[in-house]
Amino acid sequence: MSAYHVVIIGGGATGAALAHDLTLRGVQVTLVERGEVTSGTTGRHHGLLHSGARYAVKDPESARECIQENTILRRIAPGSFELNDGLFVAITDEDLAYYDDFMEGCAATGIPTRTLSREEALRLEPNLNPDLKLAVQVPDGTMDAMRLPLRFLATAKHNGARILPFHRVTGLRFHGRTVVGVQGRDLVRNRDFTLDADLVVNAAGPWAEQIARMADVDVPVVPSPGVLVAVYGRWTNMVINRLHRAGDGDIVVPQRTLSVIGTSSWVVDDPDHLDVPEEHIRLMYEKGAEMIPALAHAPMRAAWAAARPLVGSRQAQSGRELSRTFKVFDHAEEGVEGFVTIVGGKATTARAMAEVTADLVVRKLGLDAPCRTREVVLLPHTAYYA
Amino acid sequence: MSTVTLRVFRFKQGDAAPHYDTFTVTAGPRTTVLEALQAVRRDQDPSLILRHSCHHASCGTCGMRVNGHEVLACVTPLADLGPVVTVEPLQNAPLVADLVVDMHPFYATFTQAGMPLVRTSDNLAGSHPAPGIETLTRFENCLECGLCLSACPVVATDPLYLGPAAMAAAWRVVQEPRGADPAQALAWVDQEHGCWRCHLAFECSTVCPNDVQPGQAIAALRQRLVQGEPAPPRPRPAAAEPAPSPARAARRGLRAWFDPRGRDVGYWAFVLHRVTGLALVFYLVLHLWVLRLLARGPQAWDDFIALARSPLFLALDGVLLFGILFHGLNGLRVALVGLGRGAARHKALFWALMAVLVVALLVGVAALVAVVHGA
Repeated sequence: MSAYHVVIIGGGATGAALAHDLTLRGVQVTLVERGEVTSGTTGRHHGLLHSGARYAVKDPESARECIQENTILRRIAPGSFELNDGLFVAITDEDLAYYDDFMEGCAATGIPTRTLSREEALRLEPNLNPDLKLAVQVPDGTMDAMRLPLRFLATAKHNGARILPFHRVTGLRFHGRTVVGVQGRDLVRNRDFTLDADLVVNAAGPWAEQIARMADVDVPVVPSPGVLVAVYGRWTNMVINRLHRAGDGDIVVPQRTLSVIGTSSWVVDDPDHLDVPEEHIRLMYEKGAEMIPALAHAPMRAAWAAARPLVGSRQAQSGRELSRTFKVFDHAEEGVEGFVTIVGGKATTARAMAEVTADLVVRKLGLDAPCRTREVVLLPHTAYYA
Repeated sequence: MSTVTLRVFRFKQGDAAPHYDTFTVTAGPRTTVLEALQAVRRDQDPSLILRHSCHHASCGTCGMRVNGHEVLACVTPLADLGPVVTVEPLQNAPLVADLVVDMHPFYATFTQAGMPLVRTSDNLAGSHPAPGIETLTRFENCLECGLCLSACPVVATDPLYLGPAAMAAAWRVVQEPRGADPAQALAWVDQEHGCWRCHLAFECSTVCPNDVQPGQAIAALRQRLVQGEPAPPRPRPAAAEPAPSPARAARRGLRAWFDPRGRDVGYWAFVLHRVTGLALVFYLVLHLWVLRLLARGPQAWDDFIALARSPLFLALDGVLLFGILFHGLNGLRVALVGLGRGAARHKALFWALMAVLVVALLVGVAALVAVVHGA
């Protein structure tokens, strides 16, 4: 283990995967998170293990990342997924007209597909809208939004990383314009804490801009919430997507005994102020029922919102126009040494985000340590608390 | 929008004692307890800490006690709870701070059951696995939230008790081994602090947010052990490893045996069973004492008969009869359900036996009155 100490701000999927990656490369890691781990955006996502097909036409970079990571995650996190695959269903002629573009996009980005007739699709999923024209099977899956990142954290912890939930960062420590640590409040003991660091990574997701401001630098992150609605009943076994350009209420992810309908998309300034507009809940029901009619009458278990940390211009209107890919910022380019920010991405691509970020971190520290997270099988999620 | 006062349990490591803070929040029809607490943290007191993650009752992190009931805060609407709502951490687990408890003791036991996270079962009648998928799979129902441990009166007093969640997991292994060894799971629960320790209050099943029914699972394990294939030699006391001492200190203790406030009928039966049991022992001692008095001679006998005909004494006879009937009939239910008979309908069984109690009590009291008046 090297003497280098890296502090990661943010205990979401990105921070968790990065803690794991850096620990494997022999770096000492301390992760600080203001609440419980995964209590920000990470825990609240759909629970979709992306095949990438959702982005195959409009956002091929993101699609390629998704299918690669999908394959890697199945290998390093066995037992963490409902192996159910996904269907893209064409309900209208307009959907059908999108089929060729979709198949072309999937082929170009390396996403395996299998086209099913209406009858084949209904045999697999009897609750689908019987008017459907055809369906395409892709390797989507269901994950547990909290338990997958817990596996990264459990493994990191086992390998020596320190995970500090309920530690709110209130400022960065500087030596000149070089970041040399963090300071904040330990909310378990109600006292201040400071941590020295050779390098600080800002992995605060939609809060990344608030952290970056502590170093007087700017990161172009757009907190873009979406509403999700969980209804009682498992109306399909597979993930059901609408075969068209990604839009509102076009995906239903079965999870445990629930079905999760998502999502909408808008843009906010403060990721701590997330409403769940009543009309968005209605929209989820309405659009979901176009694919699975029984959803219209399924009792609601919960409706909630999560803020995606999208990379892009704050002039964005809805967030739909922004890519789901990710970006690493070395703030040395703005004159602040010892400080790196990672934003964007998805839970499915967290490992890849961590790899790219850790590559930069070890390069800046002058270490020669390759990434090993593609091979190392993760500990079970229960090992995080046990 | 309505205004609600939250009374929130507060404690930080190093504090001498916990206290309660009150916060005023506004709630719409859909505002959950979790959202209200997040708003408090954001707008009023950033030092408040709590656990939460998925916000739709899938991760099991936001378990807490709201007005004395174990719930997941993310699916508990605030509007239904009255003008003052008390929020406290789970019981029978080591307190970290505020509403956060340490889940270590929970997982230390739970993982020993060996239940895989993904179950293999057909989820949707009439559907078939897609090509390329061998069996339909989905995550287990148990959310690992720990509500059942907080509600259980036996967990409150026995630090070595395996507890409802872990035994429900063991039952899942017996039902669906998926590579785990059902015989080992059976052997694991077949011990002093295992399934035989359960007192069938069924509060675990009442508070479970995802229909795991641990109480019924424990009864099923017992039934399997009684009927079943001979269990393999017991592994050395893997489960008898004492829980860490803070866990022990955090247990609610004997108070849980006599405090059924806000609990379901099974818990009331549990408490009443203990109360009537103790009362019957007390009565027997009293009875022996009275017999000793009678041995003094005819005058003592006549005095006693006069006393026995007084309305107060007759009323006490009625209470005694109730105690005997309740303890006997509920004992019958405990014996039956404890061996797996009627576990699925334990409440119906309870009420049926209580109907028998009422009839027997009326007949008994009428007979008492008739004896006195007829004499």
